[in-house]
Amino acid sequence: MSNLTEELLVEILDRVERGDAPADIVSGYPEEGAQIAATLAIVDSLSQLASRPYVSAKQASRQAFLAQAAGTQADLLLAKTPAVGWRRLFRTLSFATMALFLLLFGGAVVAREALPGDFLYGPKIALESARMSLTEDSSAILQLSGRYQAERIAEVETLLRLGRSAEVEFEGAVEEISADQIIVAGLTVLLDGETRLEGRPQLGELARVMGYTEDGQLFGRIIIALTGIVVPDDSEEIINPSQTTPRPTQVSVRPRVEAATPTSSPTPTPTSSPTPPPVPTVDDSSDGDDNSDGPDDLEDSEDPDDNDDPDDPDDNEDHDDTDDSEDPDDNDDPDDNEDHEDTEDD
Amino acid sequence: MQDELALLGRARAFDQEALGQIHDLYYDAIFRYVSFRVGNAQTVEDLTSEVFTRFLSSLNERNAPQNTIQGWLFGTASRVVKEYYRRASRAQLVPLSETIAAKGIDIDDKLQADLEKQLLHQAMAELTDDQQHVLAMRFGYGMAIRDVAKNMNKSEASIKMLQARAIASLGRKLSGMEVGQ
Repeated sequence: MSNLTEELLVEILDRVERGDAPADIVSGYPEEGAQIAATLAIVDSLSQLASRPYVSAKQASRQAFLAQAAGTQADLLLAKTPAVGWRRLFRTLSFATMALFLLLFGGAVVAREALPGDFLYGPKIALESARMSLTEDSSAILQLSGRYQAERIAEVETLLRLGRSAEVEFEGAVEEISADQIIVAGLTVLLDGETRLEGRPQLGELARVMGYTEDGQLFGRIIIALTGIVVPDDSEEIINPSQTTPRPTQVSVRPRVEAATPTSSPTPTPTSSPTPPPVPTVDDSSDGDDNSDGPDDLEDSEDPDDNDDPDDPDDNEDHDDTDDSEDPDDNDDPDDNEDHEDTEDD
Repeated sequence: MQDELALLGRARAFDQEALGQIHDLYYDAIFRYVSFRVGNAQTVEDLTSEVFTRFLSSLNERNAPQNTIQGWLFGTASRVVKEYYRRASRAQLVPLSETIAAKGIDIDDKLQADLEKQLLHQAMAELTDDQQHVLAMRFGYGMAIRDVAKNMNKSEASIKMLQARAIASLGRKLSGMEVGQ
């Protein structure tokens, strides 16, 4: 096949793209017939190489994607919210300072029992955040996330029982909605004129509540509807079984697609199905190009510098570009590759 | 194009409906692209999800897509696959020539009959990233040359040449003219 000139290969591939039958293509070049047939065999294999996704895998990916989007949106809203109480403390002190503090005062154990409003609550949250950021495994992250969300709910329950005042924040399934209150994760959140609703909370879906406790009551400041995240009725128990608090919903921060088996697929989100993406085949493709470009044209066009598309993520990721340059095996230049192959031939 | 720009604008505001649409519109395309370059089905699912995760992360970053979602997603898919192979090559590097030798495969028969996916993936992995990218868009997703050219911001002639060289190189690798020497 290597005897076929690049120009002839381009011509053959043009004919493939135009939808010419393989037999017609081969018969058009009697001298190179066998080599062209081998080329067409490769093209045929290539056109059958890709596979289609399982519906369950697509649904799982969609759900994780939207959950992550909702989490990111909530974090952005939180960042815009004026810092209060422990949150201000948490933002002010770096994790290193926190760690030093805990080391010096041995407060880790004490902090674990801290409630919102306590002096050690900031360090407690910092420790949780640090543990999350140091965890690599997706399932472990989900476990931690579930445990911490359950902890937030238990804290609110304790505050309400003790009648203490504190700023609180938690997530859970919406169980009931009325004009003046919403029940999330079993906790009744009172709504007033100052309560801000972000999105439309739906029954059975996830919501994030930011508010405060006072005199045994819980008041909402901001309720964020994490739309599209359905709380599964029979989700796997991945939080500590000894937890007696209501089970929170795990919001995936790093979506990990489950195996594409019917039993492992999560509850699908009911959505309208948009127009499916086009999945053309080689035969469908045709650009009408007459292959009239001269050799000079080809030489010029292969200048790797000609790619400065603003939408090319490569252009904007300096770190990765540096990474590329550090990898001697990383060869993106087609010409260089040919040189490499020549060396192999030698 | 206008629709895509509008969709992108809504995505930047983390509109769940718009994000759901983007996922629905492009998941299959990106999955096919990735599956063309990576053989393991579970890995393909993971890498495809990773592409969408990066899209989300990028929305508030300077590398966010500006004009085209599709182009950005394919570019990111290419990068994700490349990183995957880089990690994999650090873990275990088995050149195609060794695989062919170990399996005692008759390359001539192979070309005449069926080209096993595993071999093809391995041979593909030895191409340059640009060559793999072009083949994956052309034959994995079935994109026309002019659209590939637009996506890669190159001329059609350049894409045709990349494609021709890639297939010639694949042919040499699979026919044993380069391996086992």
